[in-house]
Amino acid sequence: MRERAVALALPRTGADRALAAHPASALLRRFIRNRSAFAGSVLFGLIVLLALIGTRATPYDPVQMDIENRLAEPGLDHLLGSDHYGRDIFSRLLAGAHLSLLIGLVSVSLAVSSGLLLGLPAGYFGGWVDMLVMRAMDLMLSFPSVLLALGIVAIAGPSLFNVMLAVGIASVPSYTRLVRASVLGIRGLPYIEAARALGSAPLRIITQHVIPNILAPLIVLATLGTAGAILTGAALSFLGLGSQPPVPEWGAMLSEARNYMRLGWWLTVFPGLAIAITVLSLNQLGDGLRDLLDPYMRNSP
Amino acid sequence: MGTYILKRLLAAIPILIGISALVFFSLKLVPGDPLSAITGDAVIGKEEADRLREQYGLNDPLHVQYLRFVGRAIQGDLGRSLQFKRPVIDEIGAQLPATLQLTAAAMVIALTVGLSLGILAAIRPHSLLDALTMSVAMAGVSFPSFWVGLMLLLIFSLALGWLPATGTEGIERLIMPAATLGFGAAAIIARLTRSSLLEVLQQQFIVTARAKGLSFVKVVFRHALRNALIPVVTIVGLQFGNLLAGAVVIETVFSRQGIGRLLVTAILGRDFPLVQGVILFVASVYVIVNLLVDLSYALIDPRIRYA
Repeated sequence: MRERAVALALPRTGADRALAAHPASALLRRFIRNRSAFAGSVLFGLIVLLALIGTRATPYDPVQMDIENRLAEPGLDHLLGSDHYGRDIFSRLLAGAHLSLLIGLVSVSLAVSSGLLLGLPAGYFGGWVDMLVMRAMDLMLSFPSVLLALGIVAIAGPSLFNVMLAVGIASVPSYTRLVRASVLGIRGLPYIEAARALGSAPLRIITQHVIPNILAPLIVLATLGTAGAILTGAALSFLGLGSQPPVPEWGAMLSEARNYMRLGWWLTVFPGLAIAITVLSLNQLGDGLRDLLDPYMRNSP
Repeated sequence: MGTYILKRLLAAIPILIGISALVFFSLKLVPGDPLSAITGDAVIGKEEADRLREQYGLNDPLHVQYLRFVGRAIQGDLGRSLQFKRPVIDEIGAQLPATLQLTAAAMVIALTVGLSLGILAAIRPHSLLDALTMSVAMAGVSFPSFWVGLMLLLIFSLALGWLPATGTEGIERLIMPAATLGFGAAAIIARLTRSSLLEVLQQQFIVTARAKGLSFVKVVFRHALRNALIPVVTIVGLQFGNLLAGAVVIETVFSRQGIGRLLVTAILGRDFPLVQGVILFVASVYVIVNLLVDLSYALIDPRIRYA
């Protein structure tokens, strides 16, 4: 104990002090040490990179048919084989990667911003605002979320953009509830009261003090939510409600491949594997972040 | 207990009213003349159109139309399907048994697999077994269900020829769809059971039970599990809804009959009365199931009914 006290009192080098003092670097070290978070982020980073490459260049034209080389087995010519029109599956997966990521990104951004817009005032002001918002959320939660998304696509009409919209809207209640609960948890804390006593306007308190302190659970939910959104989006495309052929969206590819699955195993194996790996990386990252950032959420499923 | 049940039952009524209003009014958002929902693509004259509008009450104010919609729905009249030219309720009735069979089988699989994996992982935390079961659970929440279904088809129907690929009749056509649908729910149940059981096992009454000489197995099954399963029961109700909604995808993968495929057909065919009817029906079932779960929850845990 005494040794430690002495050690603390000793002057340290600048770099050493900076490293120990800054909470972000401590978090970074724990992040790298957390296997789940680290593996997930590396894998997801790789997928993002491949998706970026895929929008610029692919080994073959992803929509160009080549009937002579149809149903080629995976090999040197066609890394993951070719489909019933002779299109290179690897090229199609690369070219479609950004669509899956976009479904996740757009729908979750929509859900997070709506969740903040509804959950912050509900939690901070309470009263009738809270009542109104939460009853509306309860109503949305009384539909299974996939059913809600299906209903929205039914109204808006099948398209990839409407799928993003539908998946986003369907997940608004979970974000609103999380934001509200987090705000309730910190609303009465002394630093918020201090800000109020100093005369800060509610908007300033919310943006300066509340939002930074509820970010951790929100980031965790958004990461896991992106994984879920990609799954739901792919499922809707698979049902023919999202992007339509010949767009190489992964769910739509599986929907097409389903009719030809007798002709070659690679037609259905690889597009699904691409979705699975992407979702897996985000789930790993989300689980890891949960352990790192939010000790209270560790036990939720 | 009686008061508790009554309170919960009464609380479900505004939710059902809300659901019906949401379904009714959101379908009014569909662009286009509501009359086309009745006439379909048929070309009709203006006089005929006015007559039909009057006949179907489309000139009435919206709230009158809504009340009429609810009044009919309570009596089991959900309108007529445009595609099938039959009452919506008959279509639902015809497709319901297949979906119920599928979701029930999936739930049985999800519960047995999920609970046993969760318990196994929790009693040996951080062991190889734990890592293995949790990897399976991770796959269950990450793999798209329709892909898992296609992979089962590829292996068991196309490669091995053990099970028929499509159709609705018979147990051999139920195994793969139910396993596919149950896998995701099993994964969620396994993860929750593990974390919940781990938490309970750390509590003092478990230490006491062990200290008085009870075997570990007895402590787990007699003392810990009872307490650990309470959150699991809640999730089972929610999972039932997800299974019903998941059936939409699985029924398409395996070309099975059911409510799910009916809904997809309705959406793709822009058959709005049918879409409206199916969504209203499934959501109502979901609310009622969750109500039953809430009530059973009170049976299991006396703290809830006296709170």
